[in-house]
Amino acid sequence: MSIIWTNWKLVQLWGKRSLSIAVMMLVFLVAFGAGEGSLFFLFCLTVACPFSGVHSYVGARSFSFCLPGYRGMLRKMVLTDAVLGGVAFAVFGALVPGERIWPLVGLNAFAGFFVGFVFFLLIATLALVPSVMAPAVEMLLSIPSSIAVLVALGVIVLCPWLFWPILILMCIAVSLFVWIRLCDAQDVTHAHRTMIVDRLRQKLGQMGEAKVSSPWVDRLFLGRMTGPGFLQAGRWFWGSLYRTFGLVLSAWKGILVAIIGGTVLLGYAGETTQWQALVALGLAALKVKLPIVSNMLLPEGRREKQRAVVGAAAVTIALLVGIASLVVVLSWCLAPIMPHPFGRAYVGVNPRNIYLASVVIPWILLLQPIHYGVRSLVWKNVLRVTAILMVVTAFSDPQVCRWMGIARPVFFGIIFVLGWVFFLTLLRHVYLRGHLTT
Amino acid sequence: MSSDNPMVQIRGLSKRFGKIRALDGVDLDIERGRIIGLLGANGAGKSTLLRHIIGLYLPDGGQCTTLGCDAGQLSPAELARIGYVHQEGELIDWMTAAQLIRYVSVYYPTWNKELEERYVSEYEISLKARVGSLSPGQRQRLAILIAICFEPELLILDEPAAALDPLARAQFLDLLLHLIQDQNRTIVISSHILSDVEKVIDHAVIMKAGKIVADASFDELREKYSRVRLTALSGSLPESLDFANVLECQRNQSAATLTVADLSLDQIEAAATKISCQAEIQPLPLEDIYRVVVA
Repeated sequence: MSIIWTNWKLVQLWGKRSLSIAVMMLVFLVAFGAGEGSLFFLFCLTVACPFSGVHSYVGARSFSFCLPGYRGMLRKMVLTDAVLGGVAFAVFGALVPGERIWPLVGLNAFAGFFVGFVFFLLIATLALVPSVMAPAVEMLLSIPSSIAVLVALGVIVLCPWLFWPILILMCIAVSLFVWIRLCDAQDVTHAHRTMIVDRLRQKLGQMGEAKVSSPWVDRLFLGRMTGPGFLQAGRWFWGSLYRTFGLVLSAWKGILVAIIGGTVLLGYAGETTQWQALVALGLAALKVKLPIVSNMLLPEGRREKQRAVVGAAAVTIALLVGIASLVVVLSWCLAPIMPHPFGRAYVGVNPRNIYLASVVIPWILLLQPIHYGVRSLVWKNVLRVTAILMVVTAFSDPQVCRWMGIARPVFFGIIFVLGWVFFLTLLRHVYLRGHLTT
Repeated sequence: MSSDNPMVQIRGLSKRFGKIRALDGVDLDIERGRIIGLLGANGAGKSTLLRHIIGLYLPDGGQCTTLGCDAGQLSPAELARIGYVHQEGELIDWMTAAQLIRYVSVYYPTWNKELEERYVSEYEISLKARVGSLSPGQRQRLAILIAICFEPELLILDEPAAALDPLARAQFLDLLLHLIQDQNRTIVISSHILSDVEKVIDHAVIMKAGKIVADASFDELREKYSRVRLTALSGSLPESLDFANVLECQRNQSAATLTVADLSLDQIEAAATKISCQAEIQPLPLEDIYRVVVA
């Protein structure tokens, strides 16, 4: 039990920011009646994945091999999560008024941990996350390729008809498969360790020497930086943008492919999902690391750093709103030419929703200065919960607006302005009184 | 240390982190052109003090003035005169070493391209490697390079050699000796490797539990503390060795080694003659001075 407990602590440390947002989102989506299929996959991605990730990560570390009962350790961990998660969500399902039946919600959550386990392995492998890739690839390789292809094809073919009975049958099948095949850690390790180590070493070697940004990005930012005189505002402003967005912009081809792919799918998703997807675009700000503090000393005073960070935050909004605009334009260009599979029409994204991401971004960015600027744990948590609530509330906009009886523009205006007020106030506090080191 | 116009002037500096008092009423002047060794155990407050000097931390009490300005309000012009290497070696991981050097160089009007090329070659820095994939030692070399290539007036080195292998440490010491040749440059170096530090410093500041317990030139410290090897001329040493200010004593029947403070050569020799001993006087290495002062 001690290893399971340790892993639970790790889950808390690892994912306390993203996980808490995810759980709050789920709670609201359940409460306000999200689609059952989408809810299930959201659960797998946002809750089950981080839990399973930590378990498989810890299970594959060297020290774990010395522990008694190592072979069945992963089984115990995933099962513990599944039972606890299943019971918790079943209770929640019973409390939420509606047509949903509580054992179904519980079963969904239970199976979600097993499906989430597979999801995690896929995500870690596809995302090339070095620290978790080894155990993920190791376990994925133990899946016979024929079964993997069959499951993938099944999910793709059955996707339009996914509903509870089929979903539950699939969950049970996946759960059994995970239990028998993937959670036998010893079997997996013995079979694949040498192969994985070699492959991973080769991959990491390539990554070490890889070209990490495009020459045009370097030219763009360094050119702008050298424009203004030394020690002038423009230099540190462009410098902070280079530092924050240089890598992201270098991957513009990948981003463009993701935008086109996302737009193709979004056209078939329906108006509500389109709306939620544009709000969710704001969550990409979680990946923006503002240069609030740094141990690397550059000739920027506290005031200059503050201005540069505000600039980077504003550019984050501009970039994400730009992406939203691109999605909207692209969807309208695609609408006349896209086919109608299974009788489902392709609908362009409503241009009036372009601004949606900008509403949640200040609240997402607020989480960063909280870490450095607030000493009181109570205040830290109050601010975190406020930020999460605001993001979730923005997601549940129609219901909240109906409940509050105010118009959507007013509601979103309030969230947007409050977000900036909180963000700027806290940032000012950090630069007036805070420590500027990590 | 006192001067009319020190590079850094610290008065009554206090800092708490929760219940821990990291700095407790620290007073210190750092004069221009000095090479200062900041010594102390882990948690003594060295890094905290250095971070106050460059304004990364703000004090709870007291004042820290750097280059004539309140350290918390240093402007870009003043910060462009300060180089800082920190023990964590935090840099921008996604850039290559070449990109990082270029990025940092753009900030400084005084960036010395020749110096950069020389150190890239001497330090064997792989310019194409991603900073995040560098070993701790390589990262530290890169951090040192970007902190010195703009030829700062005040160079602050917080455990700069901690991640370096012996050869790289020797190279680093050579580099420091080269930097010292510029009489106008002030260097503050905090390190646990005292045998290295003593080759370059001319002033030592020793900290313990957030306080400065010694602040003196290295020569003064070496004069203040000495090791005396006594050998009995008449076969055996007397029971009581009549020396003042003895800090440590190891003895056997016929010989003894004493660590003494504030005794002149004449006083030591007079005391040795009095007990019929031959005295051999040696200066203490920095490591022993540190141990004696902290104890």
